[in-house]
Amino acid sequence: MALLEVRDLRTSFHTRDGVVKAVDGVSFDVEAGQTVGIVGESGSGKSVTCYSLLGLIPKPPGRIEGGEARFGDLDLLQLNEKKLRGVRGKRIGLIFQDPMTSLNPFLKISTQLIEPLLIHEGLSKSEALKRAIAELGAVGIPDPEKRVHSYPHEFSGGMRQRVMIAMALITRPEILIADEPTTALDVTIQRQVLDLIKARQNELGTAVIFITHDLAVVSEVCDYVNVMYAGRFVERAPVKTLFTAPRHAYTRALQRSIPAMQTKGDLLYTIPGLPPNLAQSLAGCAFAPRCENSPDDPGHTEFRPQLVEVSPDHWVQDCPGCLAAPIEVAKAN
Amino acid sequence: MSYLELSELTRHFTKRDGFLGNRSTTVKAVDGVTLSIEKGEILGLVGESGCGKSTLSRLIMQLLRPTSGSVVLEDERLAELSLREIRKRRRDFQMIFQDPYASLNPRMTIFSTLAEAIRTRHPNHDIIEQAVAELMERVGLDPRYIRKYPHEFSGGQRQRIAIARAIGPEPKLILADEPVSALDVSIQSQILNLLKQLRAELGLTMIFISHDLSVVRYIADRIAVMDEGRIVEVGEADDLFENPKSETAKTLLSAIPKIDFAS
Repeated sequence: MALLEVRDLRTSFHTRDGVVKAVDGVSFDVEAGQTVGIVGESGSGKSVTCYSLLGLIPKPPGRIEGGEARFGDLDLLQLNEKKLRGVRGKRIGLIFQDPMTSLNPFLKISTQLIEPLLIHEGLSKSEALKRAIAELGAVGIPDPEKRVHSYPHEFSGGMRQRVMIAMALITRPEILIADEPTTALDVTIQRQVLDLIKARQNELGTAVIFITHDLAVVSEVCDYVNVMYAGRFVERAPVKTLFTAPRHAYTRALQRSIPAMQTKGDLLYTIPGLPPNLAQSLAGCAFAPRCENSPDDPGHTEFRPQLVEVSPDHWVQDCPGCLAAPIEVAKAN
Repeated sequence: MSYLELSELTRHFTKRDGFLGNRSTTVKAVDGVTLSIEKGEILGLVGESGCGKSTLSRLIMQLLRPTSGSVVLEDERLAELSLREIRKRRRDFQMIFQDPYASLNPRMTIFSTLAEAIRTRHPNHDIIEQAVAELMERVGLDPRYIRKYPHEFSGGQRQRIAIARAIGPEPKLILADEPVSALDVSIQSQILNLLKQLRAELGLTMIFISHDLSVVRYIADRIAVMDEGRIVEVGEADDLFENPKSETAKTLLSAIPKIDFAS
């Protein structure tokens, strides 16, 4: 049995414009120590998927419509707020995109860093502070004994993200959810933060759910990747398979549109159209309106496409039109 | 003489500290930058955060005055002009920013935003409605949306509005500061295509700042690498990628996450 088993998770938002099905039946497993990626465009439901697991969806307007999330002997979706609090920040840690908005500017790093230890492990303040200093050292903050008493604004962006990682890992969670952790950082800092997450993961054996829209980052850090489009997974595969033998038209179109993959001077490939409005119900294939059809068009399915296993652990939505679309993935030069 | 010439451009910032503020430290944010750009060229400017990219762009835009050195645009020494003259020249420099959510006025319709931009060059434009509609078409927006507000558009469309606003005053130089970093991959490509197309149609001269080197490689003719206030390397985009000479360029290149397509 996997560490976390999510089955048919459905989350929607009841708004004035109708019911927005942000997450529409996704299932995935996270094994201990594994890095699972969820990749997709803005608004595809990546973050909502993870926030649903932790009870972080504002209700109303949000509502978990159904599904199951087995974590040990718990079903995360059924837990009450009090029990969830024992999981969130203790057994499942979280880091966000923008470290400045997720650290409290009025409190010293020490206060924020020892909080989970005081709450979840009942340590005394001095013991907790010792652990905090050790953890800051482990994420590569120089001079941690002194720096632990600083305020967030005294750190640079990359250093703040290190502090966030320290804070998320201080309780030794079994799973770390990283929501676009490097999107706000520049390349060299991004590299350092990715390396740090990897190193801490190897030392502590934490599983990581990595949410991002950057395919290059996915290809470097993830073991297994779920490609999300319009609230559903369109393709799920081990990272190598996803990049060497992508099957779904959307996955191939995404890979095609990376500027680094194109010859200079050529027009960049772009996916025509816009993602569908999720407030309207999608009967058939969600990608159909944007898909380039093949000459001998087999047509897109009019029913909701199911995921089928095309090779071991490689699942793709069974839509004839998407599988046959003539999009060639450009190869790196 | 090149279209735009920077020579020995320097800007220091002095910070007072110590008891009674009697000590001071000087930060050399831009330290002797010499660079030239031809008309119609796209120059990529890359470097880590804090290397002085933003200060350099503010100096070129005449938003900051240099400590020493000069900026010469079409044989005119901008650093020596009076503030009043600079204000008149300001329409010659336009910027495109990273965050299209923050850089458009939420209370102005697309029409008023773009009409204002056009009027800085043609104050008495009599067929302004038509000019705005043409501008919208040029950047791939449907003129039907002329009376809409920024919040009614997606991120990619907003960036198109920001681009329209930048080309509206017919500028001599456009400075694009991370114009695609906040956008999704598929939208990035659309915006990059648009910038290339506009360059071809209007002969735009552009400085393109980004930390994403693969994007810079695609769009820029030449790339300048900056570190600690200095330009450490300038070269043809492909050349610099294939054989970087400075340590900074090597570090930046090795930090790019790469996709392993090998089976």
